[in-house]
Amino acid sequence: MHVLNICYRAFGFIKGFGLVLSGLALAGMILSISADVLSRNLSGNSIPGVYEVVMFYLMPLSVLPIVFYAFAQGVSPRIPMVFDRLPARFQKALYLFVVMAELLLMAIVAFYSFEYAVDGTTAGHAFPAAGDMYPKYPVYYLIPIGFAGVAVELAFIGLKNVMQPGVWITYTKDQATIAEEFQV
Amino acid sequence: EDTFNFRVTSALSPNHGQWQGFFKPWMEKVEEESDGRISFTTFVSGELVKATNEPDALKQGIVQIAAPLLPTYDPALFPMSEVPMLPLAKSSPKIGSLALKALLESDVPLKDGKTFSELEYEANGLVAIPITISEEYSISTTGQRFETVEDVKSVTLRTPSRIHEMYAANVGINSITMPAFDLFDALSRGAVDGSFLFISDWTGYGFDELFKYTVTDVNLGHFASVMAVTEEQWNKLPEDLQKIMLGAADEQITEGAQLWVDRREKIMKETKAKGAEFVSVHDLPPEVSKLLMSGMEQTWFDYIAKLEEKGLPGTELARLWRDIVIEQGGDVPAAIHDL
Amino acid sequence: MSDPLFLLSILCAFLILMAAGFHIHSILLGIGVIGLALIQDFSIASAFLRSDPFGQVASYALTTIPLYVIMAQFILKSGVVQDAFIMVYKLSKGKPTVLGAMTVVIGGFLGAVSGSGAATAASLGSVAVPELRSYGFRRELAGAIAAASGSLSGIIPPSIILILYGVITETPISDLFMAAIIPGVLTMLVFVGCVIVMHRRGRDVSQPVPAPSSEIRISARRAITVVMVGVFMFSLIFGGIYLGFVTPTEAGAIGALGAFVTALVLGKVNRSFMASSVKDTATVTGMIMLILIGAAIFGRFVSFSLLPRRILSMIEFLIQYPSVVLIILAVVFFILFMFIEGTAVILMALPVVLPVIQKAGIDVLWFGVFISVICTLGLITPPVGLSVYSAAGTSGVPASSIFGPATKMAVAVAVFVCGSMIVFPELATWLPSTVSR
Ligand code: NA
Ligand code: NA
Repeated sequence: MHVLNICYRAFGFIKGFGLVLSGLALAGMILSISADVLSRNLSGNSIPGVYEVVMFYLMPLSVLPIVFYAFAQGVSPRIPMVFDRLPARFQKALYLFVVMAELLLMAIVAFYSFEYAVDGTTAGHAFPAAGDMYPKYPVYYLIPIGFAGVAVELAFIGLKNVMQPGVWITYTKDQATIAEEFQV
Repeated sequence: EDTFNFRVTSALSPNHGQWQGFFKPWMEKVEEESDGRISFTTFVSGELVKATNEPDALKQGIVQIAAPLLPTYDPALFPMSEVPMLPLAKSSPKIGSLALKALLESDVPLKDGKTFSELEYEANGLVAIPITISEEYSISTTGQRFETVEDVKSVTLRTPSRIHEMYAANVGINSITMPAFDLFDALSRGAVDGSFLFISDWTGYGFDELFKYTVTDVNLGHFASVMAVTEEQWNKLPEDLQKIMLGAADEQITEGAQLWVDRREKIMKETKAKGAEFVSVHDLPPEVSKLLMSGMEQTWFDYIAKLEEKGLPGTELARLWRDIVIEQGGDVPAAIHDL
Repeated sequence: MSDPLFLLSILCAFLILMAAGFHIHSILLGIGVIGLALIQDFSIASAFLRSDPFGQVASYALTTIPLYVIMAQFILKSGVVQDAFIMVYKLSKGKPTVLGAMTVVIGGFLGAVSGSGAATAASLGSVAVPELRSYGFRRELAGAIAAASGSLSGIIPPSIILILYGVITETPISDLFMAAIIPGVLTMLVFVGCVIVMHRRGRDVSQPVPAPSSEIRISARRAITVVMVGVFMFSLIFGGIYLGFVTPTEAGAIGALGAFVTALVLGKVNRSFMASSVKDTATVTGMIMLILIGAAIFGRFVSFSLLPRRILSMIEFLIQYPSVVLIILAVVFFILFMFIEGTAVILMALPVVLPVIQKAGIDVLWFGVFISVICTLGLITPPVGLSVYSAAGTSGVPASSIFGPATKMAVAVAVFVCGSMIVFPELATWLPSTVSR
């Protein structure tokens, strides 16, 4: 268990890195769109390429590196009305199954989006902006990274459920904590 | 006997002129002439495949036909397919469509002994079937007139393509990029003064109520598009069915072009009644007209330079396109004759 | 498999997976993938999985989601909102229902600058829910008020759904916007009515009753700050949009910048302000993105199955009874919007419904507003209600408990607004007809 916690904390660093990346991209998005609006209203010209760069770089960068951080917070909606009323012993087995099935799904998305990213790299996918071509394929890798991150988080949750008593909905919050937190 | 049901994707709305004028009647013809051996299941408005994702969707077998494929959105894959967007001195939907057809069927080698179709489509594992392409682009504004050179240089237009960006830069028009969805809002609130657009496409976005001033006869190119099938799928078709599909397309090209002409006339009539103005570029003050026309020539040279920078046969392609356009009854800007 | 059976099995799969405790994004994704694999083969599922997630995310229009969320975080964390609620509470002489109604009206105003019900609901969830709670609203009702108020963005122009409808049907978008104003305001009023009725029925006795208004003191300086910030943000966003300086999409960025500057001026910006703003924004947008990606794959499956068009073609024979067609369509769309994200429903169903509508002699403009009202309700109905999820994510009230009151509000709107639109079509058609064209 100790080892697992250490590993989870290490994974936390990766999440932190994703947050920093996302925060920078958000700042970039706010500043570049605002600058674009300002430039258009002052000089009548928009800044060439802002639209495409926001769409293809900043938007994916601000929302993808943090999907596994978001998932780890336990706000992703599930409707636990039936689940919470099941017999306690059955709940754990069922949740383990759910975690494994979701892990498989996330891994599948990560796998195929990774394949697409590799194909895009080979084909040199690019977008035209401000009269030039910019490579699009590097941002493709954010999808498999995000989904693999969710899969890793699910693996941690699954292991925690195996090693510790109780039903752990997220790695740090068991069923009771989640229910209590949402009461506030 | 084998029967074929093709899934068809289109980014167009079902009322779009190209869908109504070309693809829909084309499919009806093919279904009828093949005695039902070919049938189609259609997904319009990008319901199944996001616009610009058609090449991957074809390759992955999500759909068998892209109606249309929009190569200009993907210059990495189709580096030379923007050529029909070059500005012309004279053109029409029919001239533009037949010229693109001739370009796709041309056997003139452009590079390494390969033709346009081989370089652009075969290299990507695709078969491109010529279709009716768009009407020629004009310049429309929500009211700003082009009476002086200053007027032209103070206007802000949305540019739909790289070539229009080059043209805008050449005549000093401010250009901005935004999705067509946002354009309505931007125009109605004055964030943008107008757009490069073709008149028969106005109604699709509600622009018919916003544009009050249009410069015609500038012929700022045709939006290039083709119908695309993967080579693998195409080769599975028996020759008689291939012929039916190609033959029906041949027939429908000019009829589709007529639909653009009719729509354009109807829209012009209706919007004129509500006060919209249409001014020929030749009736503008000479210095304005000269500015707008001179920008065209420079755009050709810029485009050629851009292609050659990348090791592509820019001059050869431009010459070929020029000759084809003239052959179909159109014309190119004066300086391009001496290219 | 017959169509009703097919529909039933999708429904059952949804309910079973939900009961088993799966996350909504996994349910959408899982049913989508398995469904595609069953009706065709796995390669078609993998083909969609390759490129759709990226295609879904790389969108300029979606920037409104992170940007409106971070704008709300900036404003919230600078403490202005709490003061604003105290002021309104004082002005309303201690009537909490006025606060509830005010939240709905704020939602309506936000709807006039935002096209996305998820983004506005997220902002309101973080801004308004804690305040409503502290004035005695039950948590699920407070959450539902935020979700419903946020969903108004779907019907009050500008609206993504109306624009999409206009483009597909070639109906002038400005007419659609005009036509949606009265039904949009009606929807807002029905929500206000629901707030009043539902709050009276049971206030939260566990919460301490706030002090009588005369005892709450708010310094003049703080009151002036609230008013100034309010006026500043209002003129920045509304002024910007209506004077033509920014488009509604760009307003998200301008608003976020304005809110940041506000926090800076108020001296609230420090390391923890930045870190917690980014974290809270990441939590909500990450959650919404996972659902949107799942919803995209689920939508592909439903499209690919051709189910909507087959169901709709079954009712074609009813064309001679337009009002019957309308009621059936309203029910069918209400159900579709319950399960599937709004724009996806429009894309998959409209090409099929439109000919039916035209043959039945129903006004296409009117129908666009009608369907947009129903679509807006889909944002707050279970099991897939993006506004509810957003409000839940930012407020910490569980989505499953918000859905109860939110669904009641949705049914009330469906009955009152859709009903009166059928009885008095002029509610939608009158305003556009007053404009000479
Ligand atoms: Na709105
Ligand atoms: Na719903």
